[in-house]
Amino acid sequence: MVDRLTDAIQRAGFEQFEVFVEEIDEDSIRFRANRFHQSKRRLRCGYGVRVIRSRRIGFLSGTDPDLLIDALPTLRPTIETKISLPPGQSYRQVELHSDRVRGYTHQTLTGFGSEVIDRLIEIEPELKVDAKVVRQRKQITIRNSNGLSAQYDKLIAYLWVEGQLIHNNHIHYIYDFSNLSSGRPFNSDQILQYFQMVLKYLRREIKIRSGRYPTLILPLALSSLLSSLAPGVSGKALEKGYSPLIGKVGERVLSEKITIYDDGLMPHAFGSSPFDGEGVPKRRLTLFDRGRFLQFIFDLETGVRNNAQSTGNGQRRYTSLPSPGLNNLHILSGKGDLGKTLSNLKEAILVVGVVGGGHGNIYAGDFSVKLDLAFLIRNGEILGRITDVMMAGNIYEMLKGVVEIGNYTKDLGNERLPWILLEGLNFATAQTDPPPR
Amino acid sequence: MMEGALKAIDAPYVEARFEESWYTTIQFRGKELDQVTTSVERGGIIRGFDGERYATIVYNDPKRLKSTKVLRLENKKAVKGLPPIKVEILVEKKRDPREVSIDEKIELLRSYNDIIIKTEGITTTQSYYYDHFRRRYYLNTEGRDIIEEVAYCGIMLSGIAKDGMNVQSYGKTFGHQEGFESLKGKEELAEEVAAKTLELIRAERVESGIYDCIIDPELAGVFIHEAFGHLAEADHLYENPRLLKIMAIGERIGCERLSCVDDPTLAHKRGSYRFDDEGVEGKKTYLIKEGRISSYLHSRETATKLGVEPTGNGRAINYNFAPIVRMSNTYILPGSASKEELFEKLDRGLYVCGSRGGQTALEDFIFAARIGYLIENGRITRPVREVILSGNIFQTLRNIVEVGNDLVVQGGVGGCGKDGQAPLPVGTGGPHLLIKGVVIGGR
Repeated sequence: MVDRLTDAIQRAGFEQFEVFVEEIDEDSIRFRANRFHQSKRRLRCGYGVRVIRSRRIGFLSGTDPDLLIDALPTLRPTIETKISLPPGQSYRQVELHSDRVRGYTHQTLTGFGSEVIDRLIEIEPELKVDAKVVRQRKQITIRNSNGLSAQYDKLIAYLWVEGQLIHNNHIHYIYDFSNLSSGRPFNSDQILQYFQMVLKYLRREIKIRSGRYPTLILPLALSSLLSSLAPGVSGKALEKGYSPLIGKVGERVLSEKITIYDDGLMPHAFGSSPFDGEGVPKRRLTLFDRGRFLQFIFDLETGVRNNAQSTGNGQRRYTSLPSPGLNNLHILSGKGDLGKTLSNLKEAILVVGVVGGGHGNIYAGDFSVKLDLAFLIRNGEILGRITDVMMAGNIYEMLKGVVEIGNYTKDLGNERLPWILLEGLNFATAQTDPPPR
Repeated sequence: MMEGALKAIDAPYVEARFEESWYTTIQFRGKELDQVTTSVERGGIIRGFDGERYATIVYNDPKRLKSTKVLRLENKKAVKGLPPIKVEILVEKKRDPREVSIDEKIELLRSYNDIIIKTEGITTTQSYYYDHFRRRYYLNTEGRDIIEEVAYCGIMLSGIAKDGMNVQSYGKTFGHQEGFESLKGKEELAEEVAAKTLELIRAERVESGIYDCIIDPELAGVFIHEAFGHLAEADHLYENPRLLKIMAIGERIGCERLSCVDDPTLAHKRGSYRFDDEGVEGKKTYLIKEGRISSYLHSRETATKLGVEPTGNGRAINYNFAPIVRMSNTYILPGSASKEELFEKLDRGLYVCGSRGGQTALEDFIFAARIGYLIENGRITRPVREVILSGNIFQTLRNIVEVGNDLVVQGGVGGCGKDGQAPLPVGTGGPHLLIKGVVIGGR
């Protein structure tokens, strides 16, 4: 099919062309309210065709190559470009497979979900647990007029679990994620321990006053806030002049405790592969080194327009042209021991989950989120869950104020994040009475 | 082909959907045309149900289906059905965006984009055009045989201004299922986008705290969608007796002036359709009537479990997904107070306008306004930015003290997200509302 499509494009006489093919074979199992609810198999295949004539790009996509071939005569390139598609080349090997994951059946995936749910309702019978277990095989093929013909296959698997508990007419959510792609034997202990920790304090509700508090943010919540960082490092934002990081390359803009990588080669991470969506090799980029901003991310187009090279960040589905996007965001872990750090806090907020990341003015790095799951710490002890509180800040200012970083990172599929302790963030609440002493 | 698809799953109830879709997207960023894409998608989904569990297959190439093992659901429990029907609903030619040339679409978008980018002080723009024509074939083992076409087109206009580390954007989106012609003549909106972007770059951050707010119809629509609409989706409720108790039908939830409906039957709106993705005819459903919970939104499954009729709200964004309970056009019915009367009742507070979107975790919600204005001594004094509203839904609904008389149902190019399915075309709307004691998370 790819050959026929490629031949037809060749005959259409474009100066440059590229065919991008995405094939997915996915099995997923869903549980709802503690019970098996759905099994699903997805067999998807789609084609994206980029052509260049007289320094202008045209783009078509679809699921049926015959329809694309029929549409080629009407494809009129309109978008100005100066790119040259990359030549054929060799790529680094990336760990994208696990034999164990390849052998997972429907029964295996169902077993993982059942195990987690059974153990969770054993510790808290009132929990209503939804879970999703997925195994996905993806094959990407790229061919272009410059001799590139490349393909990779990758296999990912994950489990998402979400428990709902109603207490005092309040609905509480607890959720966790586990990347199963490496094929290490499945172990539900970590999820269980996390739920146990949260459930222990969930029913004790505490009100706080508006103000600024030292804040410890756990990885899942940090992930939501980091959605405000991606637009700033994009080569598109540099080209169009709206990134807050313009003119800051080489400057210390974050705490010197913070080092951030975008690692497209990380084993078994969701955003890893030998090459990006236009055949450029992926690599490990240091975006911020001990607080200093080092570089923007580029695809071919934004690279040319900014007098730079593509950094292997051309992200796309078959339905779209590439644009610069992060592969796998990795914040380097520090030395902090969570237990010790918590026990040393006089008064602070522990943020476990937030709602609304990405809804603020993300171009500027601003965020303003509602605390979905957060606790008040006083004199080293968790006092209880705080409710009806909003947390606001700016991602750059927030990461300037990091005073400690956790000694491990949580694997969130396409992010590896530690917990961070901040000197202070602003919290707004409807509470006017003083908090209990 | 559709009859054959039904045999891929052995279950008491099986349905097959096959879709053909044509998409166009055009984007300007700054002065330059940044993206023009056209796409033709064909794909299907087959779903079996045995009263408790689903088995689902998604495919693009029907040939691959033949080589896939037949899935079996062991439980043979009967599923309550609907009578057979054969119907075809087609889009009129004048509303079909495929009848309009790509050049005409580019030029319309360029004309709006030019207004914004040529305004002094604007750093760049992001102007986006989108259309989608979809033909859906639906067949199930009850003998419901439905072909339905829909055609959306819409535009999103955004201005971006930068001053040092301060970057601000303002956007406006419009478009329903009213055809390409309906997108013309919107120059005033482009001018508004440019003016408000500049207003925002000069505005101060709102002080966080508790405010009495008047919210405009655009935000009122997003508010009711986020704040109550999602809570009324019965897939959260049917397996949870405690939640059903909190959300009991007849429970008072707001003042008597507050009524809210979900209505896919509105002519040619963004969230309109005749049949949902389970072959059930859509209908107008009161979610809140005179301040009391009136009904939930249902799929076939949730309706069966709760012993009521389905409401025609089983929707999927495309063939890649199974239908789940979703809204259509959700809006607050207008009250009697004029906008001026609302302002007379607010001496000090915020006038909050537009929406950047919102999110809920059932009873908790958060949504971001595009811009706010301080009201001091009953008058608008100055603009403020980063106005993010949050709260507990039940408390906030009770705090709606006045309902305006100026209903607007908003469409656009975005949509609703749930369970990984986004954006689903929905309409949202309402009149101006006066709400007491809203938590605003500024800085």
